[in-house]
Amino acid sequence: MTAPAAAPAFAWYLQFAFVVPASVTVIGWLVANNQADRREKRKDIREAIADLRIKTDVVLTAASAYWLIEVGAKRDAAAASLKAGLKSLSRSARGLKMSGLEIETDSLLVAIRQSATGGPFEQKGRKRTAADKARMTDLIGDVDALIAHAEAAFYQQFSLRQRHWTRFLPAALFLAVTKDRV
Amino acid sequence: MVEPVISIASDFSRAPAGRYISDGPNSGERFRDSLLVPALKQHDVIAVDLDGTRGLGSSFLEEVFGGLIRLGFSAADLARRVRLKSEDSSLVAEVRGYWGI
Repeated sequence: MTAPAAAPAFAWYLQFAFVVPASVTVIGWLVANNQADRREKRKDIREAIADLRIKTDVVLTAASAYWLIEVGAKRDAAAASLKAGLKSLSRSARGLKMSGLEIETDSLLVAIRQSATGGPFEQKGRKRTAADKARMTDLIGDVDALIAHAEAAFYQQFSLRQRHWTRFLPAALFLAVTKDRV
Repeated sequence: MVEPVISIASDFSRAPAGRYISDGPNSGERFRDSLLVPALKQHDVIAVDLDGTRGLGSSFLEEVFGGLIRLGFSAADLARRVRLKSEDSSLVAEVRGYWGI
């Protein structure tokens, strides 16, 4: 009869070896999840800025119709359309904030509303004057400032410098754990 | 005590338009003189709801709220006595701008 072979000797800590790959998996999942969330948020905000651009175009079109083109009843319709457009623009700016962009738009929206519907807006029997063209120039400048402010806030919040390093974390951890086994 | 609320949309018009009474029946001057000033004379604190309309022009807002200053109300008094309600914070900011606060 032969004696049973001795059990192979293991270092005690090897029984916990599974912790390392499990941790890498969990950390990798968290990082990937975080990156996916950030990507979605970025996409939502890009869409909200695109929507804001569309709304500003609507305001500019309605404002030029009211101040520079239409007369009589058509001018009244243009005024109503301009006010509705401004309301929609404000809603769009609120949507931008709700989608997660850190931005303050109130003062810019006030400037746009004042340029578009201030002074003799909806005055009965108003005659067109040279000041109307200056008003439109002001309005275009205010709209441009709003878009530029939104774009600047977007690139400040989602700059490449802020988002590049975490994407390498799962791969770095994986390599750190496996380099001695290869 | 809850302050009385004047809603531009339901107490005045869903389509407020123009500055002066000569501009039409839904003008800022008419809203100010027929609803806002009497309410301020009757109550210490009132609330004005700016939501629900089809849009508010700056000419209307200026005549309503800037006009109160021209009528002799002080900015500090208005800031204390008139509560502005709106989902659109830019409307509130604009009105406060007419009061210089």
